[in-house]
Amino acid sequence: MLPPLIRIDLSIATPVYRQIVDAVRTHLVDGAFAPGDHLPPVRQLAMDLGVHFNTVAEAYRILAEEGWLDLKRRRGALVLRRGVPRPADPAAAPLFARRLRELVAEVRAAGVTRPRILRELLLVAKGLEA
Amino acid sequence: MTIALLSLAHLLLIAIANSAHPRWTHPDLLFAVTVPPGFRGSPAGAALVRRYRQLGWAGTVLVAPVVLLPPRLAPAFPLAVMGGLAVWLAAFILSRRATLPYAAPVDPVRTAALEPRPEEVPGGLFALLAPFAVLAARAYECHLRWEEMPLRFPIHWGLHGPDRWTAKTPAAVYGQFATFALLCAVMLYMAWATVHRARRITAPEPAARAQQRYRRLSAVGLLGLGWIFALGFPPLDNMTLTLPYAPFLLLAMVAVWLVAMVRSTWSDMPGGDQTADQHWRLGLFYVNSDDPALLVEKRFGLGWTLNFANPMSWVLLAAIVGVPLLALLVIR
Repeated sequence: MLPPLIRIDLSIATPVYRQIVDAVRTHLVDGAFAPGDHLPPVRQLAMDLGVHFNTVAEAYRILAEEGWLDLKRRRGALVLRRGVPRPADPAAAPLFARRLRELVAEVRAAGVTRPRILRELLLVAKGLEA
Repeated sequence: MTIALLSLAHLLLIAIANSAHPRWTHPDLLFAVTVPPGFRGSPAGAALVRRYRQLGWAGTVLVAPVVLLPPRLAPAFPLAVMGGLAVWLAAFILSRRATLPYAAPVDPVRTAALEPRPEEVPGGLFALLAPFAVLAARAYECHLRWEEMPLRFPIHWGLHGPDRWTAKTPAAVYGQFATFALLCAVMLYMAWATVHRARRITAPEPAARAQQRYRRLSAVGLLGLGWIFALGFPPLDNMTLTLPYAPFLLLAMVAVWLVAMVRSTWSDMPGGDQTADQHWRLGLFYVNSDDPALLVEKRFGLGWTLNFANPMSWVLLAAIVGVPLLALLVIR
């Protein structure tokens, strides 16, 4: 079975460290890793992606600040059990709504069809229901 | 006559290997330039390959007469080998220049597995440490049997056995041990680095499997070299090689390894080598300070090359070039 993969695109405007944060967080939220699992060490992930150490180190640092990773261990980054913050950040839901609208507008402007966008949104929604 | 034939055979081997070279790389690389998929088989790509071969073979024919030079005038063998390599290198560089107008942008998408690498060096710690134990044991044996050792021992071998000798002194004997140990360390480190300090392709899966095979074979080759430095250390007490046919055995092993390497190249694997053309000098030297990899796939020839922006590359080069030179000075 293939391990969880991370994919970055060097040609888009989003900084690489942000792409790494988003991709790893998606896997963590989806439950691809159990608490106690190890992510690859900074050097290895940087090598495999062909990016500078600092780029990956910064991404791991952000994920550690969010409570997903423990970087104190010597062997890579340890996945932590992370509870959902209670109460939820009051700014999170409006921010999500705004970013989602912006994202939909961006992909529509890029020529992605409405049915395709709808299909993707439904897939995400089904994942949430599960 | 033997030298002339041997030189000619080497010249031919170099020509045949280099002639086949364009087949050994990713299909979207040609003369160290990233090209569109399928370009190599297109009329323009085929013409470039044909021209490369014409240049290389013409140069080989021009170099061939050096094998007939009398030994007093010039050493035919090194001249033939260096001349052969030089003409094919020149053909490669010229062909690369001719290919650059067809260059395609490198795929900006990178994929990596989110798991610590499961692979280890073949043979594990034993393969990496045992050669040093062997060398240490032999050095200790020399210390114990110092008086029994002859007053001089060989430091160079030609076609007909030892041809250069040095006197038995602690600096000469233990200096040679230290040289072999350092060269062994460099080879074993490189074997380790092919597994742990080179980029791992994770997608598409066939390319990932092919690269894993290739990396493993490369590591085996480098480990083998390291072990040869340890086990092939000439015994000082009887002044002969342990196995009379050792060089031929070694050549046979190298040939088998080379065939396996060629067979495992990813000539039909798309995806390039995930390095940008702009970081390759002459298509031979990789210099990228943003890339933490110490080793990357060679774009000319088989195996791996150093990332010269990585300081460790210079340490390794200094060891490979400097240690034997230093040893020669000490032993002399």
